[in-house]
Amino acid sequence: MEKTIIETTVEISEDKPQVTKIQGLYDRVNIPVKVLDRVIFGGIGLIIMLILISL
Amino acid sequence: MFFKNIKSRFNEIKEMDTKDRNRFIKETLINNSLLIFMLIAIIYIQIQRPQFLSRESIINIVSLSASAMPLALGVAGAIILTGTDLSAGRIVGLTACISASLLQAVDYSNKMFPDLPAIPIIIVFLLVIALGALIGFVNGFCVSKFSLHPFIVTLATQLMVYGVILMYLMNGDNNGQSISGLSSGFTELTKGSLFKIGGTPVPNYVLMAIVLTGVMWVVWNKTAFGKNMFAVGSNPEAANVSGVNVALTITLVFTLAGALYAFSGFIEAARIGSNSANTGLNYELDAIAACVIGGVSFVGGIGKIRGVVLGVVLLKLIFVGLNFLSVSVNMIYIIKGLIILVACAIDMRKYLVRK
Repeated sequence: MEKTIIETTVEISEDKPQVTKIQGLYDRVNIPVKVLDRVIFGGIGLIIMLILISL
Repeated sequence: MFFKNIKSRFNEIKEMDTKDRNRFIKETLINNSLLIFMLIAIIYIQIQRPQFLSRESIINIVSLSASAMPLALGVAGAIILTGTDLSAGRIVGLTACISASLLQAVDYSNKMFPDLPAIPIIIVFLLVIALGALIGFVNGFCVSKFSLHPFIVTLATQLMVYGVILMYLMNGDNNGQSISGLSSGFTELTKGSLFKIGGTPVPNYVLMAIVLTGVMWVVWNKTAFGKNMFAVGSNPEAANVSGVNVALTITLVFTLAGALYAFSGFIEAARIGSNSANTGLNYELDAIAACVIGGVSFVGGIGKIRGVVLGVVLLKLIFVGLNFLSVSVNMIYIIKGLIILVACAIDMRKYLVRK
């Protein structure tokens, strides 16, 4: 059985306009994951504390 | 299909060695910590106040969620493009005020435009949708063509739209007052109900929100525009090389978002009944919080309709629940801020772990 290989090449035109890259919110973030864990659990703990205080 | 996926997932976990399994469980718990906390909070509130999840209360929560749903769906699109939309609440306010002013009862004594005849509701609806879409188009155009960050662009439009609302409310005989006395046809269309659940009427805008959510699911998942939106959100350069018109996609996402805010505004006009310059104030913050809780990532290109729905409903459940517990409104603002902060930290953590 014969196999036909079709080669295609995609040319990327240099004239193609530059795309808009929206600066992501975390593009410059460089915090250790452990610190974020503390923020997450600290935040949830604080929310629970505030609810308990308000009761 | 769903159960098959769960079963295969369980099998995968079973095949992991102890270390990997523990790590997987730890990661899953941390990534879903806010959802777990909210579910525990809901159970706690239900135990403390048994009427919290009564039929009337659930319908109230669903109604509140339904009115916020179009707004959250619009903001979610902007977040998927790694952006945000701060003008959402003000667009809701403007479109609500315009809808209310054009759909006041003809015989109402304090009518804003006394000589205005009765206008068909559909005309007003199309008008406000077109206006919302136009403001969204301006947002999208500035973001895509001038490479401005959506934060700045939408902040600017937020202020401009607020100015327009204030000027609009000074028109006619209104003199800056709230707009009320809406026509019965408009009120009945949105707040009226086609059916009841156990004797409690379900407002029509709940049905509208369900239909709109279905339409948005199709747009996000089954159309080229939806695929392009996710492609541009995750990597605009790659999307551009693949033949996606990035500028057009960004503009369309913001335009669609504007139309969705207008939809929310139209519903809000009838739901509130008395519309002022404060209508829609800070609505975008709730919508952003709901999206982040629902897993729409600020990294871009990540998000699901079911996540947005879950986020909106959970957020409303929590706030209604806190009201049931008689937590003060001032404290609820602080809790709201903390929920957004924790949700962002979880989102950032997922991104850093992947990186």
